Amino acid sequence: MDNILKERRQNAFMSLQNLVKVYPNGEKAVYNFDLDISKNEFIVIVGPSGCGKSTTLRMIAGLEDISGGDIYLEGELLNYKPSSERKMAIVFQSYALYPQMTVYNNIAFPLTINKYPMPKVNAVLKANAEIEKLLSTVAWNKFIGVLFNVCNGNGKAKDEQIATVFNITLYAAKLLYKVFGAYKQDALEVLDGKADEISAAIRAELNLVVEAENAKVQESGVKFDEDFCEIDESGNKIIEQRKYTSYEIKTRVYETAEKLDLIPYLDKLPKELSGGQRQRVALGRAIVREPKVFLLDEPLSNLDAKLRLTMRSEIVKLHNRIGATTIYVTHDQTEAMTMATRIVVMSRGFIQQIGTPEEVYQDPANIFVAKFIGSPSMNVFNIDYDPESGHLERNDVKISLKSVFKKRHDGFYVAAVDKFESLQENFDEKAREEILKILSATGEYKDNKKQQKKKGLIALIKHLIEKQKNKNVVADEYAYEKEVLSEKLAQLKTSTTAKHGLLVGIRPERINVEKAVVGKKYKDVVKVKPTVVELLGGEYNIHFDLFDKDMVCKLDATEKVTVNDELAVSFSPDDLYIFDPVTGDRI
Amino acid sequence: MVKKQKRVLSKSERERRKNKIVAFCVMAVAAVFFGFPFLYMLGSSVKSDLDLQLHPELIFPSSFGEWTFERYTGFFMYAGKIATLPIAFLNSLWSTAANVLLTVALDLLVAYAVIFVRFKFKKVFMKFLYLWMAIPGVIATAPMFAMYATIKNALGLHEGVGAYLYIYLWLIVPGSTGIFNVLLMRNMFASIPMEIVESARSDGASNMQIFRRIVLPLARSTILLIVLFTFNGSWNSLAWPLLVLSGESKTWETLTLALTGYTGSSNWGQVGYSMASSVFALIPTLIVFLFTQSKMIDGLSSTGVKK
Repeated sequence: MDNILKERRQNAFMSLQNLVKVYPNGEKAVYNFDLDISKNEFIVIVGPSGCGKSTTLRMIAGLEDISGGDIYLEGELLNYKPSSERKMAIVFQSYALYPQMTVYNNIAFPLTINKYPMPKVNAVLKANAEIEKLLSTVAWNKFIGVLFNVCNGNGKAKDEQIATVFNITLYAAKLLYKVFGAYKQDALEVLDGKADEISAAIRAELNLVVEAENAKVQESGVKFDEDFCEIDESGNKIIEQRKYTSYEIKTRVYETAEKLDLIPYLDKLPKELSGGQRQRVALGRAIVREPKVFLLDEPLSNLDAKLRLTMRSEIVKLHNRIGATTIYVTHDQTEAMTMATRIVVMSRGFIQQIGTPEEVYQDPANIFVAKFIGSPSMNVFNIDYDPESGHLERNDVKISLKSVFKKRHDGFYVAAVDKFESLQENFDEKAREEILKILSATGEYKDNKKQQKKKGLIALIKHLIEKQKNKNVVADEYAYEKEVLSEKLAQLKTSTTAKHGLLVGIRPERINVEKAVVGKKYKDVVKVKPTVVELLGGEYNIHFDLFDKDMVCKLDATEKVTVNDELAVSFSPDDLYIFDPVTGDRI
Repeated sequence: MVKKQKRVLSKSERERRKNKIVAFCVMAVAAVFFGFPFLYMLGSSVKSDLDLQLHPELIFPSSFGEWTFERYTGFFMYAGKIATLPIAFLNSLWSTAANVLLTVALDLLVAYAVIFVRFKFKKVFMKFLYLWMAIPGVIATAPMFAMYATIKNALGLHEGVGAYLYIYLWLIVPGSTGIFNVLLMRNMFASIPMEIVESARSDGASNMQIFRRIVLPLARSTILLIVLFTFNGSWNSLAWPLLVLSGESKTWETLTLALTGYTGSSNWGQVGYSMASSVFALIPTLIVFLFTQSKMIDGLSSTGVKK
């Protein structure tokens, strides 16, 4: 067991091993969250509110203490690291922009406060090479034209402008600016003719500093590679921890702002921006420092429907472009389906299923996942199963299943009974969690443990009297779970052989439906009247009552349908998802 | 020319105008009520001795010949010597400034810790602060004075710079420990969304950086509010300085204390001087108020309960 965990920790980019969160009041919010994430994945954690998804994310980010389990990033244990050292960036639903800073300062903030590992570069030698390259490759009139325009143009920080235009280091740009200062009064035509003079002056200035630098380098005995980064004996770059210079910050912020179309807003305060722009600033602040993992906590929930759609594709595009590993928390299953490479479905603190969007949609592990994923959600109804004939029956509807199902059905129940019996034999914390997980999947979970504390003196006295009375009775803390277990076991036992109920689900788009024509004879079809007809444009969502349940189906809007029409509905047995009502698992 | 037609006011506009007029009248009465002593002080400070004796009922001097500004020069020079009042003014000024700085620093740090730093017994600590507020300051006066005197005697600080600094330490430090200001700041910090601080933390900021770069700029108006409150409190405080400075040199007194020298029956003739000194005593308060008043409403409203 330990070996498996160890191996996972080494192989996976990020390994979340049995994460548990227990709040100080004893409430358990997350049970055994176990997940390996490989690099560049887009993981979406989805579930209804209060299912523990945000708590999980906050544990990963280091904003919440971990009650149990380990988090590894690239083989490194993160449990006890403060969130500032985890190299993760988090984006909140409320954007959490710094209200007193401009957009520029908001994005620059992470760069200004931290030291980052960078290779040690010799600025002088690099500038020498850059200027030489510039002089030899760029046409003279173009070169001098740019210099002339920048130096006689508007704006401050002309050296930075030169650096940006020629894409050279600031040091090289400063040197050029210094030499050119002597010539900037001349007209452009005059300068064109002075090519040799000016380039000689530049080279002379360069030689001066380079010679001094070379002497220094020889004295210290430092070696450089072809990019003028310092290297040690074995040829590896020497990495130093340093802060970004203001010019580096500027270029980084502008790069990021360009990616997110934020250039026009850099001088504005967050309160002057719209929701979508604020969200982009929050994203920019996250990507500017190139974290190893992005954590997004319902980032689109505050946006209106249309903007949410655009931002959704923006985030996916961004992910494709930078390819950073992302963990995304949402309650919206559409976001999960459209964005994720893998979806984690959670309910009541338990992981219900992990899988790609296709797997989760086509092959749901239990009734909860089946109902939660898909819009409109899956139609689920109760129906009786007769093991002898292998038919699903209800009223006069009969659906015959393939013979394979009977085998699967019997195998499922035998295994389930075995499992439950072994749980009953030694009931411990693990078994209790197993029961709770089943309850979370079937939707029977109740907060039975949480008793409302009554306030007031009388309530307190009553409580004390009660306590005194029950002093000698030893309360079994698992009483409720044990009761549930034996109840379920009894149900499972009868289900193996006798006729029993099953939960059957079918996706709305899989229901075969057509408008019934009067006089035409149908076979194996149920005729229903729609209760509500919703036109979505290209198609209808038609609600109708069947088996005492409200069902939804989809129908192309080629023909007009009203509530007065009659519909002919039929299912194909291959499209049915069959679940065991006792455990909620799929058979 | 087109004749301008007078627009008929709607009902709500008339209502609003009526309310405005009533409010203006009430405010005017209140202003006169509060402004009268101030005006009387200004007027009396420029009355001649004769007018002070004969026309105490007038606000300003009875004739142009009775105007005098010698009280104002007398604030600095009295009977050919430098008066003690300017020195008392300076004493008050530096001790009040120290008090304000210390108060703001303490309040900021305590409020930051209480809201953004996790530590054990935080709730107990807060309860303790509330409890502290429940004790009236007057009750603490006697034990505080006993402590002050005992330590002073034990250290033998009876004269010289040491004694002066010791006394002013006792004037400054207890005044900086008001819990009301801490709670004001705490409420302001509590209204900062937790996510802002959390995202700064995951951006890699330390507590000091979060405090300096994010929380402090947001707390500016509350800081100004506390500056105003503390400045007024410290500048006007009388009882405690009266206690610890009694029997000490005149040049060690604070300004409020020095002004009490004008009250009492034997000093009746010095009404003019006392008024002029009061005008001087008002100046710093006015300056501080001018700088902070625009932010005061802002600060008061932003210290509200978290939504």
